[in-house]
Amino acid sequence: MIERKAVLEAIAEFFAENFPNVPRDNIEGMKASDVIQQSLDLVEFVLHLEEKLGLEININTLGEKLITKTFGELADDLVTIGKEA
Amino acid sequence: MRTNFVSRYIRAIYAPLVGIPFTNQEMLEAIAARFEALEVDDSEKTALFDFIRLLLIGHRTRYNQYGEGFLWMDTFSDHAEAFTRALEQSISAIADQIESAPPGRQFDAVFGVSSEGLLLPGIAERAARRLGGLVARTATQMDIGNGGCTASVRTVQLVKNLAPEIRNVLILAIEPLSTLIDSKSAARSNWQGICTFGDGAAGVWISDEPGEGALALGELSSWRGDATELIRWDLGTDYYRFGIADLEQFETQVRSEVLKAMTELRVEKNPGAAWAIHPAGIMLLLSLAKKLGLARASLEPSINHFRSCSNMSSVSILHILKNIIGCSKSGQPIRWLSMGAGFHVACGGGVRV
Repeated sequence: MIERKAVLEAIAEFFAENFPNVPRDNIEGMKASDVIQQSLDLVEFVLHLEEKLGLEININTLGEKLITKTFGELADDLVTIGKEA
Repeated sequence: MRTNFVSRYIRAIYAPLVGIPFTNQEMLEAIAARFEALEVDDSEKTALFDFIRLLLIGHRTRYNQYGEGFLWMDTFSDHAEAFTRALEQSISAIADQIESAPPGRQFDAVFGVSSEGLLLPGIAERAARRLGGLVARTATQMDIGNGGCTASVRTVQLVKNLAPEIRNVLILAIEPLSTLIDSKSAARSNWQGICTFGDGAAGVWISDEPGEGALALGELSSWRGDATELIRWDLGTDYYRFGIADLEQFETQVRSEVLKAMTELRVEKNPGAAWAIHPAGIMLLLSLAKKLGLARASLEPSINHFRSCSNMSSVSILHILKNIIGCSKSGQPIRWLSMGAGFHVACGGGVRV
């Protein structure tokens, strides 16, 4: 069982470590594509979530949601994936 | 008891760049233009284009031997003729490099490797014709098809196990993946292939005599898992196209297969070795490195190759190896790990002479 709050904390942690200049006061409303401009960073982001959430994430399962959804919506999806795992 | 053991050495890797470079941005613009004529409903088209934007995020280049109109191939003949043209171009580019510093002895075997199409005469015969006197008339000349991304290193493994009478071998790996592009299809695996792959060509000279800068081949092994259909050619609109059995579970299945193979093959975590890892996506590369206990720095040759050339199927590992061998010192252990359709995992290595 993965909590939504834990997902958002893991997302915030990644941006604090890797993109310290990005404001994190409205992380739920931001999209990955607002911040991440390189595929390597996107992969690092997914690997970070895998490690922190103890979840195996298939990039193809999330697909374009990774860049079109907000982190809040993404957190909801990851909670669902966590339930199904 | 084995009595015919012979030491073999990679004497040279020929790694020309063939075709025209296309950046992610150029790809995205070309695909956007092609999508205007794609016959699927608007919502599906929008979702597919968002998926493609995800695949093309950041800076990456691939080479394309078809040229500007690569998204407008229209018939079986377009694809098949593009395959033949690409092979001729690649053979010529490899031959130019061989002729600039030719081996002192004729090749007594030539193997052609490609997974994208068929043609007669084959790669080996065309290369032998192009190389003239560098290939003996009595040389073994054979093509190896349908091997996927591990085909080149599995052919190196095959050559290592040949009879001692065969002393000087040339392998040509030629993968014009652009010929598989099916721009009329909305299949996601098809577009994943279009965005992931680049065209490539490479040659390997393997000899039973060591030489300056050679790599003495050590143990080479390969493994086949149960996910036989995981990566395959699907029948496209006019030709074959890249296909994946279960796209949503693809990364997870690949990682699982590779980890099973690594356990069975007992892949060493030699911290002093330089590594060439097939760039089957950065996600796999980075997660594999963690499992292998490799430092991020050791992945740089593979990541750099992926950035500049994308995934050239069985050609990529040879380009990466050439770079690593060129940068290594005498006595340096070098390892490789490749994975692909079959589902095959192939690993091996050696020591820089």
